[in-house]
Amino acid sequence: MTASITFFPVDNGDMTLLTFDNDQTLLIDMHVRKAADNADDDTPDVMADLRSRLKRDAKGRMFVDGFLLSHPDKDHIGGLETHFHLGPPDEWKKDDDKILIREMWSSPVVFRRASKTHTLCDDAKAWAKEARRRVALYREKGTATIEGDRIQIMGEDEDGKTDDILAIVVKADELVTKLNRVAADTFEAGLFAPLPQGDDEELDELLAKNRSSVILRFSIRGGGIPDKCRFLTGGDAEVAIWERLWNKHGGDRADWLSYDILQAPHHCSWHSLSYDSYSDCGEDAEVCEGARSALAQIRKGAIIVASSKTIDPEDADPPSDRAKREYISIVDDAADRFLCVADVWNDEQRALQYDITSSGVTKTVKTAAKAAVAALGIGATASQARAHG
Amino acid sequence: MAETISGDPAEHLLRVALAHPECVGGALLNPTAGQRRIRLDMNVEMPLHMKADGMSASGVRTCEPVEVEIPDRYPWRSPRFSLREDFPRNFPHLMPFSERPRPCLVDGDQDEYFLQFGLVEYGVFHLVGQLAAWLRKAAIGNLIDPQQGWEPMLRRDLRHVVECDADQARAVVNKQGGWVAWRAHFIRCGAENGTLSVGAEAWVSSKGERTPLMRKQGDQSFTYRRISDDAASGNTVIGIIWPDKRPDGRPFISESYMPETIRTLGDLQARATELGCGRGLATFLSNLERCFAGMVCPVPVPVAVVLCVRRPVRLIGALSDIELLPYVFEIRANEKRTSLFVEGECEPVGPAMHFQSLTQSLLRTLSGTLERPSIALLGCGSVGSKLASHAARAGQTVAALSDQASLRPHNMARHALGPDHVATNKAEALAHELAGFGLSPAVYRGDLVTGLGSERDRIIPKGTGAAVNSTASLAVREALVASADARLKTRLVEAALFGRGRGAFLLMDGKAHNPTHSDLIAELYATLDDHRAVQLLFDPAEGLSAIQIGQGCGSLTMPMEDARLSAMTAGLSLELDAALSESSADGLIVIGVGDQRGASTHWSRWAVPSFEAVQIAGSDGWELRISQRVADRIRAEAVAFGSVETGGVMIGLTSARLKTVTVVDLLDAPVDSKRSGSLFVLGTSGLQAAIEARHLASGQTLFDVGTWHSHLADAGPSPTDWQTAADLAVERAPPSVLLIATPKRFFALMSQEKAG
Repeated sequence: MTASITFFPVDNGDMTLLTFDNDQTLLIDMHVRKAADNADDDTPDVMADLRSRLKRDAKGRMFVDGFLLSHPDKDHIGGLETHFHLGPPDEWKKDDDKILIREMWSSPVVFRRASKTHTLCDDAKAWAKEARRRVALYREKGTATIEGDRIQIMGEDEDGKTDDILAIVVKADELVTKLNRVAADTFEAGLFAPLPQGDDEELDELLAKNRSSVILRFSIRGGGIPDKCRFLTGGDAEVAIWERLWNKHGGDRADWLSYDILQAPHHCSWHSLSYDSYSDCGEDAEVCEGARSALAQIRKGAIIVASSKTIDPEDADPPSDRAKREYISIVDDAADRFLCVADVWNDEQRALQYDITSSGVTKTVKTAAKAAVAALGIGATASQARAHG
Repeated sequence: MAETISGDPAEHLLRVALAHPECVGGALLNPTAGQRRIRLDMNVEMPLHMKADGMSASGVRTCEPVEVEIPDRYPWRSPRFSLREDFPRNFPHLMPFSERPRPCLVDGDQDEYFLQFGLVEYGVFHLVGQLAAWLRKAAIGNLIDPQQGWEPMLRRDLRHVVECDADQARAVVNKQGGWVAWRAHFIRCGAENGTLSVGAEAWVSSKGERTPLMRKQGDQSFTYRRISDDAASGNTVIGIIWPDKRPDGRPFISESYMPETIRTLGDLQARATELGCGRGLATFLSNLERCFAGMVCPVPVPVAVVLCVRRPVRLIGALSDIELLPYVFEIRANEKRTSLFVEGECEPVGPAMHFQSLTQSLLRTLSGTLERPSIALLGCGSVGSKLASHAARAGQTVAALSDQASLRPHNMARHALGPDHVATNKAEALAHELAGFGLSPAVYRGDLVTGLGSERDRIIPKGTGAAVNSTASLAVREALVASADARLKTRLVEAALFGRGRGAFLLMDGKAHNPTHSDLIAELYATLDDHRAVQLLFDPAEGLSAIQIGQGCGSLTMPMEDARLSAMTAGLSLELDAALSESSADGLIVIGVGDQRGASTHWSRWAVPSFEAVQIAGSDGWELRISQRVADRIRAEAVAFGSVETGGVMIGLTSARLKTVTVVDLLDAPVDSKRSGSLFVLGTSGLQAAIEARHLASGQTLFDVGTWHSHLADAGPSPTDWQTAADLAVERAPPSVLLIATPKRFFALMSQEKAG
């Protein structure tokens, strides 16, 4: 199967599917709004699209091999309980037909106590509960856990809560090479964040600063050839994190941050590139050079994808038009190498997808049948009420 | 016909094309030579790193201008697409020789593709889609996908043809470079003074027989015979040429795609050199010249060469990495010549299509089948001849054919062979027909019943995978069963129709010929529960009994259409293929039952494990053969009664010629039977009626063949048992067997007086 990266249109939110060339799938975040589940609403039905790309196992259960939650905010986890099976895999019900997560990839934030000021949404609570269930099962059974019970923790817990389960923990600056226990060389991913903190920060502080986001730089095999696509994704990580990464790696290891595709952090927020407030400083707001450098290690022809709604200078950040301009400057001032997922939906009525083959990373085009339906007006009769005198 | 589209067809076409997401611009162009033309600007998605350059590694731009020509008969003909003149040429799927590169957009006829869409808009739109896909592929790696394989050079629609077996050509290729000449036959159309580039066409075919390329007096290597004013045929050669190894000893691999632009001998020599075949071609040509030294033959004789080019990956749809590039040129041995090539290096050379010659391998490829065990056919009537045809056309081997009879006019109603063969022996005529498929089956014209006893190896040659009896003859069935000793490794099959072709069955014996066809037919009678099948099978006029009585003449008295017979025989053929490819140790029964009307047929199949054979004491070599199903029932009942002996009546068939009694069913002991620890007395209450009912239910085939009873200990027949056997022998004519089931084994006995 052809490896690919698909960005689903979820406005300001993330929902990205990685398919590797051994057919394994990894979903990064989800943001399914209620309207998206309503057939009569124009909001893209991203779950139907996602499900059409997934396979079922021998027991008839649709599954993803992995689900990475970058951080537990609603625009990254919304819809989890509705669409994914949580709890022991044996309790999967055919009538509900939810998607089984064979392996969770979670940040250690799930070990934090509930915060007084920052209330987690129900889906985030459900994620944390499921993650703790799987960790407990690992403590009990070790590697004997089955698909649907597995978990990898992205980063060490600051308070040593992961010290006894290090076999399922990937530390910062280490590589993730396995997905659902399969090490097939289809990808490797460098983990840059979250970083362990020296001091004991409260959960709300962490979340407020969007410091808990998992940052991964994937190197993906295409058509059997390693490293055909590098993909950098970092949830909602903000400027301080990116600056720190550059200070840490910018010298000899800048290549670690290089990419063919960058998912613009925090839905193209200005706050990933600058400490200054754009609403206060306007065009005088300065870009943080360190953060910009961390996000500017492009390979030839690289593109930047904003998983956001259409970028309008008049609207609130995110998405930020100033950030968009900065990103375009990063991709050699080529405006067509900056893509907004919502714009792709508006133009083509589909998710933005790149195939990764032995030739490289290529944007997919609409299939002939779908294009014909749209272009030739098949079904146009039904698009509005027509008067017949 | 352009009037069928309202308005200007060019404008209309442009408007529709622009609706395609990959068509980003376009314009109407000035007509040339009255042809309406438009330009389309096609977006070409390519890998990000190439897109940054605006051009792919293969030279395709991110935005390609494409010219569209609207033919006169549009929309009854497809619009034609051509690329910019400097578009790179080293792609497959580019039409050879066109001035502007023309992409070959669909696999097949582009007009046909265009016309399949009822809406012209749909057709245009999909062509533009194909164009966009073609360009995307061209952008990455010459349209060759290593996983899919090497795309052979487009040779469709070339005028000249070279016909030979590709595998045979590839087989002569070795590490050292070289050439061989094969004897060939040509047909040339066109005036004698025409050339292959203008006016003349050639078809050169070879069966792959090597020839030394020497010409002696009276030699027939090259001949020329006029068929008509503008056609000739004769003998010639094909030169098979393959690349030299590289100076460093590695094989010569041609990795880049070259457009087919060969028009002259000079072009061919240059191309051969590029492909590593230069030395081979030169040697072949000089040998050709030498062969004609001193000879005069001033007529054009077509000669073919095939360059065997080694590619980096295997070819699409083939297992080999060697691509065959065939060409045709003509030699003229004029008087006072300097060369056989009148125009020297400018002598026209025509690239040719390669047609695979008729081989079993070609037939298997086209049939999508693997090679299966060879078959011998016993009986070459309508069913046998069609089974043989199906096998031959699927590229399978038919090792032998047997039939005593000759084809008669009435056979033409259903036989696979046509009226030309009437009055010839069926097996011989069929063998003659199969010879055209490259088969040379052994033919046996004698009587099968006696032949199977004395000259079995002529009917079923050693090494034959399966022998198929399609004679519909009980005598042949039994003779075949009788001849099946341990030395015969061939699997035995019987295929027949019944019920005016509404029903068909196939039997395959088990490993080591157990169960036999006789066992299987008894098992079929006993277990068939499909109402319609029972009705057809046991129909007094058209059922199995009718076939048995007919013994080969049955077909004359069983009217049915050829279509019906063919439909059922085709089903039998598929079932035979499936059975042979599975090669289970069990025996097999397949039965097909057709609807009362129409062509629907339901096929069912079931495996039959080996029968248990018990020698019958007191007889001269008779054998009791018990279906596994029945043997299990006997043991279970004996165990169930535990402390007392029990028993019942055995139902089955008897064959005096095979000396077998076959048991396929049981009747329970009558209610007045008595069971004790040392004696079982079979009662009589209702037994006669039960036996008769069973006989009728089986289409009057199965009857009582004896009794069985259990012994509590492992003891054989008691004096009482022998006495009962003697009593039975006196009371009835057919042999009657006593079977004794002990905890460990079966004993069987019958009274001597009647045995044999």
